[in-house]
Amino acid sequence: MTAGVRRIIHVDMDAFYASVEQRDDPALRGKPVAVGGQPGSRGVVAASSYEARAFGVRSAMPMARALRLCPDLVIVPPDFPRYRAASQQILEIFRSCTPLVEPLSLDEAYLDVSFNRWNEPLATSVAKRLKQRIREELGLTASAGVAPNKFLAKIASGWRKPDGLTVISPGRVEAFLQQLPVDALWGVGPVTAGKLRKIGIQRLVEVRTADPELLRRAVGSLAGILKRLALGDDPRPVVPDRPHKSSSSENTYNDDLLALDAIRAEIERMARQSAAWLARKELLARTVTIKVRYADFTTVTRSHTAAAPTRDAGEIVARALTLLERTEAGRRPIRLLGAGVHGLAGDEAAIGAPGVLKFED
Amino acid sequence: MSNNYLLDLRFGVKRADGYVSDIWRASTTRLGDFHLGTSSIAGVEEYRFNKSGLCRSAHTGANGAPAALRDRAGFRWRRAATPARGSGRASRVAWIAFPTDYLSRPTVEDDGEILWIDAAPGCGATYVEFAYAAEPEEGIRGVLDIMQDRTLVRCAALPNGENLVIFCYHADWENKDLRVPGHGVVADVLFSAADPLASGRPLRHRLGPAPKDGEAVLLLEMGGVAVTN
Repeated sequence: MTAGVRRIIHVDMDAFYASVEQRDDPALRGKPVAVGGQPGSRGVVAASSYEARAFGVRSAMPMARALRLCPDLVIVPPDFPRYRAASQQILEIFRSCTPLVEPLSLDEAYLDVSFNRWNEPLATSVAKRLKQRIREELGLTASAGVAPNKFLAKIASGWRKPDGLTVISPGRVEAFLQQLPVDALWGVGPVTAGKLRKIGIQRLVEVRTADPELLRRAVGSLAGILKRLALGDDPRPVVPDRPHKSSSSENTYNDDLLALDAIRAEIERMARQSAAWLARKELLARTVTIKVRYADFTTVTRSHTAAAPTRDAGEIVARALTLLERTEAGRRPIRLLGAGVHGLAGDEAAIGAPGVLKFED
Repeated sequence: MSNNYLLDLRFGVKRADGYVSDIWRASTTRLGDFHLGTSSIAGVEEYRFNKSGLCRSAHTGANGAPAALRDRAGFRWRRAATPARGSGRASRVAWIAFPTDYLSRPTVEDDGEILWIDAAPGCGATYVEFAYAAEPEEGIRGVLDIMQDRTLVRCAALPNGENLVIFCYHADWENKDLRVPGHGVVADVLFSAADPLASGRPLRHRLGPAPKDGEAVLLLEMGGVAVTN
């Protein structure tokens, strides 16, 4: 028999970090705002307000370029504790409706509301109530996509932004798929899209009839997944409370470390361990953290969160070593070192994140 | 029920306030064919699924054939084969979506022989699906019980040992106004959940793509009103 009709919602907060800043600082409202690092320190845009997006300012863009596009851009340093607090409030609203909530990041989540605590028979009504409560209780707007599966719900939530609600009824799935370009598919970034276009595939539905060998040569093992998604078929369940929240390792040394080279080597080793763990678990991480305990037991942690999650060992190592520069390593004796990753997400988060091409070369 | 039919079901979708869909007829012949059709003031529309697997649609205008067509004209295709017994699968051959907020004020008396399916809540649609299965009725009921969100309407045995399964469920629907232009030949038709003219949406139309071989017929039935400006 055919599978049951699931009612999946993907909620995506609108310009989340920037919206929190504009909410909390009236002086920022109506202005082009970018949350991120200063251009002088090679900062990148973590989030931009819709006013800034009108100038072409986008997430993961170097701040220096963002400023060239929008000279009046107001740059705000990120305040992740505040974003996390808002995110927790949002998740509480979601969980008041269903335990099947799968957060992808601070600002987006999947919900399976096929059976929900609000006894709403349809997901559209649930989505409207969620959006209303987020607006009333947090003063923020969200866009939602309602569909029979996660793949379609995620595309739908981005269909109308900000403050949008897009519903893909089972009978409308095919019509919706027909209008999507091939790079709407999960995992298809610019490079893969270019390869697909080279073999004549412009639209998502053309993947269905592509020559299997040509497709395999173009995108490798991704071919099978693409075919399923091109049919609108995505049976993945909404998985609440992922079992893995983070991975880290630490080591206390018999003799305090003072030589910077040795300290760097240790941090690199632990960062590589975390990257290997991510690869094994097929996860990605947005945040890299290090921990340094000095000989007098003073402990400091340093972390860096990127807009785009990664499992690339080189990147994780580089970020961990950069964080080390923000400590007194080499100048004070150290008794313990640690490094790890958190802010974990499945591959789907990478696909939605700017600048990350999961299936690319 | 006529002796020529193993199944002869008249059904429609009805809202609590009495608004309804058109009345449909699903029938299976003793030869093993399945017919699905409806008649309204717009004429007769029928989909025939021959036991051989060949299918065709037929349309007859109540006031004569559509201008560009003969009295009966339609398209032909071949339905997907019925999955083997024991596969736990069925082959959907047709499905109809009835968006709740586009149902129409009733214009005919209910003669009591119509199976009315409860409409989905507002901003929803009621789907009625038709599938061939080689599984026994008991197995089909078991699968639908597990799925919970689907209701078995009928399970009709066919002469070849297969079953025609009719089931329904409620799903989400996004209400959007749709205006079909008449190009000056006939009036435009407005399909609107808001029904700004308080017309009761007297004109019920079915929209859907022509199926290709192996595909199911997908129809969207909505009520609208003729508008001149």
